[in-house]
Amino acid sequence: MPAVGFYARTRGWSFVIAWMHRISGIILIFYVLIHIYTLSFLITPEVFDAKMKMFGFFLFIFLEWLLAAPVIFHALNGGRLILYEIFGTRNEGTLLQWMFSLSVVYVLLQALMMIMGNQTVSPILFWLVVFIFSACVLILVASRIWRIEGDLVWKLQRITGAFLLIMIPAHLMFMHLQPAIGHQANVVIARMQNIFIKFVDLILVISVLLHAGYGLISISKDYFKYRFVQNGLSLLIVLIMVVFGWIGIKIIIISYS
Amino acid sequence: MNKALQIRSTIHCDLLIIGAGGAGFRCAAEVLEKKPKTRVIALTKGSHPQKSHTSTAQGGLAAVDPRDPADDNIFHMFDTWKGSDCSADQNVVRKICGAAWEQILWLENRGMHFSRDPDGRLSKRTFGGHTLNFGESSAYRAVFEADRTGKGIMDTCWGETLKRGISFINQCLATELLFKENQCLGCIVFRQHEGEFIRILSKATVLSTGGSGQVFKITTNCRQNTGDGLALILQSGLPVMDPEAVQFHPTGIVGPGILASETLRSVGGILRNRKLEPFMEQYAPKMKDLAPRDLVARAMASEIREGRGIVNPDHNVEHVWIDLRHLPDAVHEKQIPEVTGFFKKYLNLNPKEKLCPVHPSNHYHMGGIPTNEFGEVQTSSQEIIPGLFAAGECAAASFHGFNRLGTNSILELITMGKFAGEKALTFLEKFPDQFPEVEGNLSFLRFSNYMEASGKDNIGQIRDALRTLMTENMSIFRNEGGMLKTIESLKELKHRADKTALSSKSLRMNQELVQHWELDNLLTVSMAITQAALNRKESRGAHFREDFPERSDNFNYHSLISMEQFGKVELERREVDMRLFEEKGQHADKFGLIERKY
Amino acid sequence: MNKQQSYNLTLKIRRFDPDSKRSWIQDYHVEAGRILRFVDLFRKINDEQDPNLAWSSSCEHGQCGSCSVKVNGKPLLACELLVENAVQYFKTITFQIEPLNVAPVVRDLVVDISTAYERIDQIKPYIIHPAPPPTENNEYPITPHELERYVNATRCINCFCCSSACISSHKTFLGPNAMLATIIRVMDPREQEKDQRLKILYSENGIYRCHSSRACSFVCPKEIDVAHFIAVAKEGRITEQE
Ligand SMILES: Cc1cc2nc3c(=O)[nH]c(=O)nc-3n(C[C@H](O)[C@H](O)[C@H](O)COP(=O)(O)OP(=O)(O)OC[C@H]3O[C@@H](n4cnc5c(N)ncnc54)[C@H](O)[C@@H]3O)c2cc1C
Ligand code: HEM
Ligand code: HEM
Ligand code: SF4
Ligand code: F3S
Ligand code: FES
Repeated sequence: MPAVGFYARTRGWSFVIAWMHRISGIILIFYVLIHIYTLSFLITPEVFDAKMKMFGFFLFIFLEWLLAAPVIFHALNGGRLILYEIFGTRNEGTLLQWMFSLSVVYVLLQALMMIMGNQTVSPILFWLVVFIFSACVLILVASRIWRIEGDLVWKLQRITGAFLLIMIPAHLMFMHLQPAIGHQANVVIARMQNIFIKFVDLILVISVLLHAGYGLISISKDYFKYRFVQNGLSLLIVLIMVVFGWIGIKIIIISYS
Repeated sequence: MNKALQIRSTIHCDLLIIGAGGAGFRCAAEVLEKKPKTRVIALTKGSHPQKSHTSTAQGGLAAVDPRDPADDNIFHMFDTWKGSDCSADQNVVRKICGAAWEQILWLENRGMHFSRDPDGRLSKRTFGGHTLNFGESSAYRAVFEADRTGKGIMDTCWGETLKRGISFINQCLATELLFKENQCLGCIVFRQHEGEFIRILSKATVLSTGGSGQVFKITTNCRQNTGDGLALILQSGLPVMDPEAVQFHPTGIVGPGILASETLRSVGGILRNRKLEPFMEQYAPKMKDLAPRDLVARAMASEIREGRGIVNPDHNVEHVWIDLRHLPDAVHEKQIPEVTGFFKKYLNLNPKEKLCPVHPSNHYHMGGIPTNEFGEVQTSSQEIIPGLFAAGECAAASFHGFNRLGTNSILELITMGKFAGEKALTFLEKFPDQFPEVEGNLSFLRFSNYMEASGKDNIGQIRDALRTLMTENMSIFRNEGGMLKTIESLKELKHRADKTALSSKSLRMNQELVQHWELDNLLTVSMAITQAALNRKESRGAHFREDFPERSDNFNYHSLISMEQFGKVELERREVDMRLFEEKGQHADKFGLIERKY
Repeated sequence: MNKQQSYNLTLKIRRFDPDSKRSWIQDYHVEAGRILRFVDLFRKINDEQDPNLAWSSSCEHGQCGSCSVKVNGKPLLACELLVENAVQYFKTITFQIEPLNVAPVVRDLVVDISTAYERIDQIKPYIIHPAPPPTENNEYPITPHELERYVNATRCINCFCCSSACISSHKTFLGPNAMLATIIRVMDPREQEKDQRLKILYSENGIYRCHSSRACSFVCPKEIDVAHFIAVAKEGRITEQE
């Protein structure tokens, strides 16, 4: 905390927020990689269920809830950055206020869902709505960004970011509507039989890994001066993302049809 | 002699620029543009050429736009001549004024961001002393880049030379000019970071080391302006011209000495003394606070001398007030925002509510290294020294005579810089391929003295004492008694300085060592200023003698002063060029020995 | 109410001796008037305590960018910081003073700024290929409206405070000020060579190293909104002619 005050005083709040964005991004990467790894146990539902048991412990429920914070912060701040950089919305003050207020609301809502734990919703309908909204945001950002000269992958990161802006918070919210939705193998498997859900998951995993991969490469380029180190690290990151991408896709396509 | 003191390497080049300020840069750009493969090396004392003093010039530069139906070169020439108190050289005045607009376009076409009028053309504003029809009305003659005109020139010239492959040696000192048979062949350079000497042999050398404002305690000049160029010239046995011609600006902000523009008074600011009396009424009953610069500065200095000044506790200097409290908010916010900003930033006071402390501040050195209209340096007998050029504030061609008009200095940089470049080019053509060998020894002599001295004293304190001495006796008012005393004190200070030991003998980035060297230069320049002023028993332009308050025709010449050894001076003279008058062309009568009245 | 007239400050200055390659922090106790600038304090230390302490300055009124240092971690111009304001801003009378971390230290507070400048040199801070003015022997007409788009960026004095503060480390990013220098010439109608510039701008070492942390705008002593200009480049509006 004193560090936050220090940087706010010497570099400004935006600087602190940029660090928070970076840290939350890295937390999310770790989470996603572990997440995909655990999801891969869906092939043997017993093992998956056994593993998921631990999420019954209070500490883990608490941690799951805490996850909402980096997710919503990164999402909303990412959205703000896209507005700042690409849509010329430079009145930071108001945006930051909105961002923090919405974050708090979201995290509290998440807690409410977890405590009640008895919401039901049609997965198809839910994801149809979320997907349509996300696609709209994607198109909005993509059409704007496409005309800009510059690096394709950089643009893709912004576009995927825009797509995930609603997708990821919605995903998290969805999984907390009822404990079973996210933690019981049979429920998950049953849902994933639907081709539309498969499609949504596929797009989700690809865009997350693309976005995260570029994020990591971008961070490494800030810190490593030599080209060969940069290239080596980029290669490594791409490799990791491809491997996890493969695992993720396997879960969706191959396992149950 | 100290073993560490030796020449580490020798570099050869075609053109050596000692001091990459506006003048040096313009010269380098000219040479590189006309003859692309020329090897040009530019030296700077600061950490980078962009940090040179020219970057702080704010106001603008005067140039008559040929498209302007009202204005004419002859008016600009007249204003300059009149401003100089009839001591500028008219050949130079004609040459610079004639080339002005072309040089503005040179800068504009290469990317300088001049402020524009609604049609997209260069905007112009008016400045003190610039008039139409020989003094009839104000002329809009100064083009500018907002409040950073000098920076615009620097950025543009830096870019142009960088583009064409100049090499920079930053944070270095040119410590000695190298001569063989009266021809200049480069210089010895002390590189501060490495703490080593190198020798640069060059076919042509340009001195453009800028001003000498650090001689005075209160100055608008930057910390680098220690008159090194003048000291180098004197050390080589060559003369400097008109060193007594030093300009003071009435309203320097107390403490940092920063320039508070004349606008403060033109919008209605009132100068007040300790008793809060609006004292200008007594000195100039009609014009009051709007009287010319030198008159106001003199009035302020008199008030302070007669005990009606105020001592500033933070900077321990005496000053008077400028009262801006009565001005409407609109004036504060629209017309003088930057200057108001300076008071806020540096004195933490709000000029809307509080009185602002101001003090005449040393501003510009009209005198300098004597050159002809091509920037070629001359000896006391006015012979040209082959291979040596000078331009900018350190040089005196002389465009400003005894008083410089606002906006004429940076005009001089870009014109004289170019002329010197042209001349250097023709000189380079003739230069044989082989460089003659030359050694330097003065630098080592001076530096080993610094290294070996063993007395206990402090360079900074001696420098302060010097600067206070000069400010007290040699600024606005001068008189024989004060000057004789000053000369004695200077000798004492020199003696003290010579004995002072360095607290560290390291050569690397040893600031104290550099300051010791600079102090010697300051002392040398101070001595030259004082001796020349003592000799000039009249008042002319910025040089005001209480014992001789009038201009005298007996002194219608430039003083040339040489001083190879500290305190031992020789005086010569150079006639003022009056060809505009003598050629008897149209308006010749305006260029005679006219009265300087506004 | 009377303001405090002077302060007993402790300056903890990071020192470096190039001969022994030793680095340490030295405490200086300075009694200073309220409106002295930090450069005045350094000079006071030189005159009264330690003639050896090395520091940089030139214009001493915020116009040249020679005197940048970090005071309590904030990169700023030492010639613009008054004692009174420093005490108020940092709420202390003890100040850590360090050299900027944008180039190797030469001695104490002096860094080798020429090395930092190499990054500016890389982006070619000049008009590579000037457009001839429409009518010969005239200026190239630029309306105030056109100039307004980039004129603020031309105020940069290369003090490198922004570079020092930026979230991107100093390893690869050419720096916020180098970006400004490029952007100026892309926006300047007199520059014909836009492609080369855009290539540098939209490169790995260019704007993609910026993460809109806006520390540059926060610390810039010239109050240039640097981040805004970089964002305009990201937005692609930079090449639009108005
Ligand atoms: C606050 C202020 C405002 C001004 N405004 C205006 C204005 O509006 N209009 C106008 O016409 N004039 C103005 N002037 C005057 C004008 O700015 C200067 O006269 C002019 O900039 C001097 O330029 P220069 O090229 O001769 O020297 P500088 O720009 O001072 O450059 C000198 C160079 O020489 C280097 N140097 C010095 N000694 C050595 C050495 N020993 N070894 C190596 N290098 C060395 C320095 O590092 C520097 O790079 C102003 C002056 C001040 C102080
Ligand atoms: C939820 C919607 C998301 C949005 C709107 C979003 C947006 C953004 C944006 C705009 C950036 C660029 C910031 C910069 O230039 O530094 C970014 C960076 C990053 N994102 Fe995301 N992102 C989202 C989700 C994710 C997810 C799920 C992950 C990880 C799995 C992630 C990981 C990263 C990383 C590591 C960076 C790099 C951070 C940095 O360079 O400092 N993001 N994100
Ligand atoms: C604790 C909360 C979470 C739970 C319980 C959860 C649960 C699940 C489940 C059950 C799936 C399987 C697919 C489906 O049901 O549609 C899934 C897929 C996925 N989740 Fe989560 N998730 C959570 C949080 C997150 C977060 C925070 C992220 C991103 C940062 C994320 C990213 C993904 C991705 C990318 C997939 C697709 C993987 C694939 O299909 O290969 N999840 N999640
Ligand atoms: S942008 Fe501002 S902080 Fe950065 S170098 Fe320029 S003036 Fe300094
Ligand atoms: S501080 Fe750095 S991250 Fe971007 S907005 Fe400024 S360049
Ligand atoms: S010394 Fe020039 S900006 Fe501080």
